[in-house]
Amino acid sequence: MKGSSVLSENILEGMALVISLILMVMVVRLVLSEQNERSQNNVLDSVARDIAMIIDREAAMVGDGQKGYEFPKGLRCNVTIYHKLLVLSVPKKEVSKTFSGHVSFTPYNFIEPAELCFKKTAGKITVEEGTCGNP
Amino acid sequence: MRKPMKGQISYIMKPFTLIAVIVLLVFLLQSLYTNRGRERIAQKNLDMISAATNILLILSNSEDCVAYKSPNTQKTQANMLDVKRLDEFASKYQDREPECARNYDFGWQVKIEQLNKDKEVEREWVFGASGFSKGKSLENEVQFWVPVAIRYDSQNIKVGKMILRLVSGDLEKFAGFFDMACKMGQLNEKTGLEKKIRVSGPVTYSGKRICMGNECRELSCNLLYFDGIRSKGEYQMKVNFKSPDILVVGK
Repeated sequence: MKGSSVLSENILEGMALVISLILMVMVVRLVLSEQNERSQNNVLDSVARDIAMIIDREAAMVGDGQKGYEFPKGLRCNVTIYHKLLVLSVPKKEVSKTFSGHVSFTPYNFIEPAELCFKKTAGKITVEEGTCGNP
Repeated sequence: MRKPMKGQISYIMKPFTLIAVIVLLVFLLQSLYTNRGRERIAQKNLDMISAATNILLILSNSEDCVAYKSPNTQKTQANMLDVKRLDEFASKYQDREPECARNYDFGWQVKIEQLNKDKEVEREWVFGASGFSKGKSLENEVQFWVPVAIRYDSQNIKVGKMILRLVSGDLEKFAGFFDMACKMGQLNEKTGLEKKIRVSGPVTYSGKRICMGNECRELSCNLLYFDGIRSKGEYQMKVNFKSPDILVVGK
């Protein structure tokens, strides 16, 4: 009788340990996956904000000019620029951002670009893939 | 007596420890989500301020808007406004923003004041949206101004200020979504658009105008199969463009 009670107590403690371990792993995974998603969203949001800002600043600029944008190393996303809407997409995720300036000859589609060049010539803004050359 | 006491304490302490751990975890997760909420609000405010600055700069520096373009050099001059463009915009855009500086997330109205030597307003022009979100449907509102020069001719240039009121709210988001879908359809960029929109009250639609309460905005396209929204909530809006200016709405 005494032995069986000790055994059941040990089993209970073992079960509690297993359950608490499972709970801990679940919580840690939840927090980590949440943080991972958040970081990815933050990166995409920041890139979208930077590109939208470049377009708006080009639109607000007096005269001709050009400005390049280099994507952060390791970030592979597709870029689509519609009339006043920018869409960045990675597998299973899409981030969009509006802007106020007018980009000519939209839509633009770029697959995993490393660098984009925004040019303003005679009042029209155009976008090209690659490094900006001599104006 | 000692052995049973130990057991009793252990039986009481274990559930309490479990509850304490759960409370700690809930607190940890809640603080993570609260911080995220604060971060989002800060980002929205930052977006609004940069949008206001950019709209003001585009209006005053872009030849598509009201900036003066020299016929000799074919270039615009920073912060110099053309009085003819001001007259044109003030009569043409009484109920909506000009496309040259439109942002589909916000609504805005701009007032240009011409000042005399005593800094009194001697003439003014107003254009942009006339109806804005109010009360519960209003999310945020900012007002900025920049000094400008108003050019009548080469001998007659006056000083003034351009004041922008930028508003973010349910009415602006709704109208922005429909107008963006309309413009994208007209430019053959996209025939369908989808967005989740949260509204804080009823929305009505009649004769190309969308309203919340007494505040209305004119839309660029006619809406088909849309008779408004009766109660607050989050709605998945879907639209399909039909040439030349019809949006078929589904929700």
